[in-house]
Amino acid sequence: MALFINPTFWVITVAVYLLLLVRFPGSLTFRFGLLNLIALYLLLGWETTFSALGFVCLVWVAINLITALKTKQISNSSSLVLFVFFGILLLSFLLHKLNLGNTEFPTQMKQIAPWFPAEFLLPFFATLSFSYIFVRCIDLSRSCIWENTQLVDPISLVGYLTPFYMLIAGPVNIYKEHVNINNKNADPIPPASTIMIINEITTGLFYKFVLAEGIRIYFYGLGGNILVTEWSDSTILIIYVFFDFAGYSKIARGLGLLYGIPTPINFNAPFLATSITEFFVRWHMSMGQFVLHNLFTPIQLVLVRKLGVRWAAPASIISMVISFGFVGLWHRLSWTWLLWGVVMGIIMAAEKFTQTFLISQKWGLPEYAKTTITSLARVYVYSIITLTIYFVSSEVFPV
Amino acid sequence: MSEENSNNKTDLNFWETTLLFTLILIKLTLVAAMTTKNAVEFVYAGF
Repeated sequence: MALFINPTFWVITVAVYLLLLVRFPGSLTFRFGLLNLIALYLLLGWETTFSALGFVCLVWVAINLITALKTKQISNSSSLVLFVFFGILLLSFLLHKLNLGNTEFPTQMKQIAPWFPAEFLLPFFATLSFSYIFVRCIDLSRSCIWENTQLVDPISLVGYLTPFYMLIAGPVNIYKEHVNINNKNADPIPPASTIMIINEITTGLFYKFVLAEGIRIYFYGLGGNILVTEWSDSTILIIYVFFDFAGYSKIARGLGLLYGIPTPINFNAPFLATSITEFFVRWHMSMGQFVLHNLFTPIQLVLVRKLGVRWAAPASIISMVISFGFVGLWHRLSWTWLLWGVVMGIIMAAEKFTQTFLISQKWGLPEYAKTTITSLARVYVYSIITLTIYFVSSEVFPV
Repeated sequence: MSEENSNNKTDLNFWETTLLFTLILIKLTLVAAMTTKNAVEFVYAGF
């Protein structure tokens, strides 16, 4: 989907910004949700837009039903609806991640189950980047069902689940932050801030179309694709992906700031990290926060409650491995990506224990040694990242 | 200065404004030059 090089996209972004400045009645989430629907219609057509609205309405009804049953303490029915809801959500996610669009699957399904709209669903999920909608749905469900956060109306929910300027690759925005904007005074952005934000957006465009594409053209030619056949290719790939993804994230973040819609920061100089753990705190930060709140912490809590505090350390390792296993599978449903996630989880668990051990030994170092170790640690992080990306790259950039 | 603070800055002097506009213009010119030659969408699209 060529969104950011589509002039219509930029005309729409400006129109949405100007229309949000006009104080029409209704909350900010509702006004943005409505404008977002119009933007989706102009960019993707009525079929995708109404289907997205239909999907959001189903999510809204399911969450309302679960919370209502939970309030009335009808736990069996509540659990059943919860089970069906998460089942459908997970099946949709699996259908999207299996990359069946270019296979015989839609034709086969037409013969086996003519009622199943595979031919429509596969491109629909791909157009909306369903991987991000899936994680947003989990964050939304956790907030509304278990933390009693207010569930907004379906139009506002479209603005949270399928924001048009975050369609390509997130970031993973947080539901609570999205709802909270209605409780804040929406003061107009000062002109100086507007210029700074435009600077941020243009930096994002520069990252992607000048730096990332410049690297690709330099190494692989004008129409060439990135091919990872040797170790050295993965060192180029990781820098390319950084400028590509960080560039996109800067554009999305900038537009979010203009609209007053919470759009998390996604990158913070990841190559300055001195451990793999720190790397993932700085790389795709919104995903890291999602994993921490929705997977790592709940799994760790459940394990510690079941096994006891004495088993906190193994519980932490297991939680880390499961969480990063999910991150691997979230990228692609394959054994390679699962292994990638598990290896990352193990490395991070090992780093945590090494750090704890060194602190317990009161390991002190002179200043010059600290500087040397910091430099070596950055080399270690870069090496591990390039080494691991080598194994999964063939699935992102097939040879 | 963090990204959050820099975007919340409420005042810019003449030179800061000129510098930012120049930077924006240079970046946009380079982006336009690259996109007319070879337009490729984001790699992360599709995840």
